[in-house]
Amino acid sequence: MTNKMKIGLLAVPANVLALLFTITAIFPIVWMVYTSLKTNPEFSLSLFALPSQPTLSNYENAFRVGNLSSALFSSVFNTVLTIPLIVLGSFILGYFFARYNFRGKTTIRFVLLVGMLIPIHSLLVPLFLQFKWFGMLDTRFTLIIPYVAFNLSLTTFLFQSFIRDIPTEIEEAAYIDGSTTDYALFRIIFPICLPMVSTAVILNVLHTWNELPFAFILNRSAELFTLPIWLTYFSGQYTTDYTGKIAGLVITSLPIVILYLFFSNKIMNGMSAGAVKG
Amino acid sequence: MKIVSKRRKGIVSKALILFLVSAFILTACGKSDDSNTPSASGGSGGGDKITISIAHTNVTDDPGAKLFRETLQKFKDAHPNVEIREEAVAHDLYRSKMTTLGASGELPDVFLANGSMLIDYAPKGLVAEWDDLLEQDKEWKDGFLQDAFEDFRIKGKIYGVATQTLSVHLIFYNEEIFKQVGIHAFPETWKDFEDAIVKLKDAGYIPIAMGNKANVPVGSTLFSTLADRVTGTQWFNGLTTGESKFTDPEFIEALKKIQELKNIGAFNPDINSIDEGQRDPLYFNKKAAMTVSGAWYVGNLIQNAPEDVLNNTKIAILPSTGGKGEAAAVAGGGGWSYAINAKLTDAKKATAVELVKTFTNDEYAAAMKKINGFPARKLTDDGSTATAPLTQEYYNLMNRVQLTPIYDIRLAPATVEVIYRGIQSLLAGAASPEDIAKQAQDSLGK
Repeated sequence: MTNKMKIGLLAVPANVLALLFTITAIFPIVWMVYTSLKTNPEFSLSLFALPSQPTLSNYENAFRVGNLSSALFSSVFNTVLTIPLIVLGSFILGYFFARYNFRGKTTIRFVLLVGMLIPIHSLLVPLFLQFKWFGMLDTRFTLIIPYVAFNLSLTTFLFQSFIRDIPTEIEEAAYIDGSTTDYALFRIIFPICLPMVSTAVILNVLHTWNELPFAFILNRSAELFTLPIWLTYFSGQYTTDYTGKIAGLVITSLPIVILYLFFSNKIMNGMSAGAVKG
Repeated sequence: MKIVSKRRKGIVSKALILFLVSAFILTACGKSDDSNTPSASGGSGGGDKITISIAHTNVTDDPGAKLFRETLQKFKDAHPNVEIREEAVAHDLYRSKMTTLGASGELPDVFLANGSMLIDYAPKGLVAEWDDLLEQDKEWKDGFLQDAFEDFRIKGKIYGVATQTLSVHLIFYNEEIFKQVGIHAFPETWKDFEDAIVKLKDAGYIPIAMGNKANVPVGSTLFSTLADRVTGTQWFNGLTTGESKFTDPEFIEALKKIQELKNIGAFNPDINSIDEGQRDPLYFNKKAAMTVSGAWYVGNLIQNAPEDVLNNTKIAILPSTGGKGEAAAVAGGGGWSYAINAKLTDAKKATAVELVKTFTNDEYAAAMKKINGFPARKLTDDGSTATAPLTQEYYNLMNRVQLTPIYDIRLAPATVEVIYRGIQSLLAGAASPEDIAKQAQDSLGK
């Protein structure tokens, strides 16, 4: 009884603390949503007050700034094309790193590691020149290759550590039943890796969706510009349309928030499953 | 099972290879004719199609950007043989984009450049001089404001044509609050100014509200003008020749003036931790009697301030400090200019110049004024086309002041950083004027 009471007493401050943390995480999103319903004069008077007369004018306005629909299309296009390539590529790489020893394995792993260590912004100018020489600037597909390349390293190492923790007996059993390598790879290991796949999808969607420097350096045509570039259209040299920009932020982050809610349970699995030895 | 999986393997690997190859081919061959390097030969003339690439930042929804786009469209319509290729990104991204283009020898034919970009490009021979072109068209040249080219002059040569000229220093004050505490006119001497600050402070108001988190606001909009009041413009010009030093007593005196203001409680205590956007609620809710900003703040007030605050807002400038500088002067200038690529020749160059003139002629200036812009040209109608009273007040002020250097535009970025960060510590009471002056002088490396 006393023990239970002790736990009960402890639970109160622990829960309060947890709730406070939760609020600090959720409040910015709530603030963003209700601020997007305010007008700029109202916003300038008080940054935190609730809107007195909620208005959707910022959202109507958003369609007049730049070209929202083409930016949305470009972002979705890049993401949809990039993510399967990263997941498939890094899953296969991760599998072979985890299960096989072969000549050059250390070298390839080292190259991938270097890819993680080099700050990618230092590659802006070299990559621009390289793309120029190949005539690859300013096309619909321009961003796909760098996006896949930048995200391959981290995702590969995530898959490698996840697969290393899967008992080899599972594949051995499959091979005894006459399975080939790729059957074991895609039909047996891949389904086990699904939590890690969700993690990889979320991480890479976030990176690709939010990527800014390469998107505006490698492309010139306005119709190829992505959402992060569109968001910069709300600030001039001296002035910023704050509430307009915040409405824009709601529009651009909504797909990510929905995606995260959809995958969040699996992501938790994925994050812990790879880290703990079974 | 074996057969099935073998087929799968084939399909997967083939699909993957096909995809990668096609992605490469599509990107590589999509626009192989596409290069924005200005051709050395230029347009050979006559009916040939001339391609002009132009980099600008007019992508927003504000009237100035719209005016630019409409004018560019009109130019396109009037010149069917000219193809305009735009590199348009927002102001925040523009520098990075241009740095990359510059580093890879891909500078557009016509582009917006600020003073520090020109300091970088001019010695490398990347930008063309405007001097002869200006001389060739006297009417165009003489229409500019007196100091319009100062920010873009390097070693005596002009490399840019100002897009606009504006004051970066204005004191916006709430006349109602001033009257309430018994101040009936904006102070005209430094002593009266300090007395007014103390009065406002005692009445429970924040005398001057500013947001200096980024360390540029106070340095640019207040200190550049204040320093000129104390040191005079001649002292500033002497910095490049070595005739004057930051360790001179004049400059230390200017820093001491900021320290003085801080000591009598002129600023909001959280000045260093809020940004300019967070300053607005202080002024808009009548908690602050004054705020210091540039000409762009006029538009912000008109659009966003509550009506009674806007109606009571008047514009003033710092009073004389009794120093060497003119009292009827504000830090100001162009900031951005139109530059043309040094590689251009013949018809292509002529077209580029014509394009720049389209954005810097009297017609465009008049249109800018109509939307409360800040053209770099003299306009005979004395600003009567301006719609808002506050804008009118600004134009009237500009007619009677001269422009002095803006520190962050004329000095090297490293020196600016030392001085502006120093002022930030000064406001926090963590540095002495003498130390800042010494560091600033050291940053010059002389």
